[in-house]
Amino acid sequence: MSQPAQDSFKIFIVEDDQWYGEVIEYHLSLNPDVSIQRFDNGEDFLKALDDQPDLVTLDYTLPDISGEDVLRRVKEHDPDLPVVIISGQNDIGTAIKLLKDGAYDYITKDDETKDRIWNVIRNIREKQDLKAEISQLKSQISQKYDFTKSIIGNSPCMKRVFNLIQKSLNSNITVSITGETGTGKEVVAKSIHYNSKRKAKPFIAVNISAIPSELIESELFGHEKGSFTGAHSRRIGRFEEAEGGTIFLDEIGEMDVNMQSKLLRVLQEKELTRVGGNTVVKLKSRVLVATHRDLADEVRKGKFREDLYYRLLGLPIQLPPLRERGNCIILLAKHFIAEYCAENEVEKINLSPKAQSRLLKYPWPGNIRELKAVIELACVMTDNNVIEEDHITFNSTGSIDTLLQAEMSLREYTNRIVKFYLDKYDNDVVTVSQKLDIGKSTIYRMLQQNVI
Amino acid sequence: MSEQALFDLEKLYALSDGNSEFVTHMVNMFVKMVPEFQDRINNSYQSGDLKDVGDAAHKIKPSLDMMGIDTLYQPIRDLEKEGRSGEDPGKVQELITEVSGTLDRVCEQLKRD
Repeated sequence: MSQPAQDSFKIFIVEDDQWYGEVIEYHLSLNPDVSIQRFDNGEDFLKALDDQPDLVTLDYTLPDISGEDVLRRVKEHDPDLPVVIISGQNDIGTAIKLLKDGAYDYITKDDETKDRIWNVIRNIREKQDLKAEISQLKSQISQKYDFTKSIIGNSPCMKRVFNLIQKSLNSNITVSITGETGTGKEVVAKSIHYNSKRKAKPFIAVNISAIPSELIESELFGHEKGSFTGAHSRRIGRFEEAEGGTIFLDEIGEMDVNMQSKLLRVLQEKELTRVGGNTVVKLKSRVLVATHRDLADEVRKGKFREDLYYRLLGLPIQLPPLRERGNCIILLAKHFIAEYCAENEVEKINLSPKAQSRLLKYPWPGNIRELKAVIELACVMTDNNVIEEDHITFNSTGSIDTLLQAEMSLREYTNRIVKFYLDKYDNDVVTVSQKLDIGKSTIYRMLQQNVI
Repeated sequence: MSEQALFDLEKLYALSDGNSEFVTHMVNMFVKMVPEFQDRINNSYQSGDLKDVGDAAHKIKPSLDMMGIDTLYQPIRDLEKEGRSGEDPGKVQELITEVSGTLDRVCEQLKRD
């Protein structure tokens, strides 16, 4: 029996024919990366399973125990350990049965045996390399989304958010994340997933607003071949892709009412059927949703189903707009500067006090996304590794600065503001008068005068 | 005129990357293994255990292929099949004689070489 080399690919050969076993052992050991242990009966081999081989070649007919039983006991011990059955005869029925029972391959003893074993070894090693890489990447992602590091902020409102995220980790409760565009809803969703027990399973993000309404059902729930024009093959949906993990439905407020009722049924029944199919698939993914809209308001307007709203509400996490996060703006700006420096391999860049003050005064309608863009541009514009006030340029299309650049009269600005609020609140004069703290009659007068 | 070789070690040389020391080792092992096989099939036949004759043939079959004993390619498969079915002891006896006799000659040739 050869001594296993360290870090080599460990193969256990279970073969009671001494002569044949020795030939195969010698041939495989010609590769210096392979170490081999040979067993001439099933029981000795099973006792040695704790030595964790990478591959087992198993002769189907052993003197003490049947190949089928050995395979079953190996699978009970380690379901992932590849077992290749080596048989003296080509029996298709037996081969199918063993493959169904979890054998990795079924090889007959003939002139091609050695080549087929090499193919198996090559495939398994490739798989092992990929598995190691995936596991490394998963661990990197988990670290990236360690929310104590990935979500930056120390303001009281953010501490509340951290507290809620922490509470969401040990449960499967649906989490509804709300906040203006650019406040980091997806970052929060990923942080919840990658810090939960589901982190080894997939995180699948679906932006509802980016998918045409006629395709959304098949995107979410999958479809069977031929279920509609263009369904050339069976496709599993995003819910199934996220099995055991988390599905994140972003911009849920944009879902049309028809689809809302289908989603509600799936969430209530905890099972789905693919479009055009009959097979029922159990729902095993956790659901996180996000929207920039006020869903309660959408319910009042009849645009969002009330029953679905309550089903999705779960644990609500409201992300504050950046303008309300005080000093978080500076922390985030410094974080983005550090990120820029690392990515572009440049020396440390500092943020001057005047530049900080300019950042703090700005209302950030595009929130963190906008701050990141502004900082990246400032990093490019700086000459001496210090971002000064004039390196900071706001390009937000809806920014107050941009609006003020128009130099309109106060009356014109007032008209613009009232019109903006009326559009936002569906011409609800009562709400707008409350929001702007002006009389309803003022708004009616403006409407009569056609100035808005 | 010398007897034509009943075996061909080409496969063994190919498997071992041309290592003649290894091939010699395997040939010696084979020569020792043959009488054990012959005893097993003879004893099993005598005691009426034809299935064991078939099982023994099944077990040695890949080794005979690897040793390049082409003349036994079909007979060893027939012995495996007939032994396991047990329907025709006469045929099994015939095949045992054929296989065993050929193996004796193979071993003689191997020892000579």
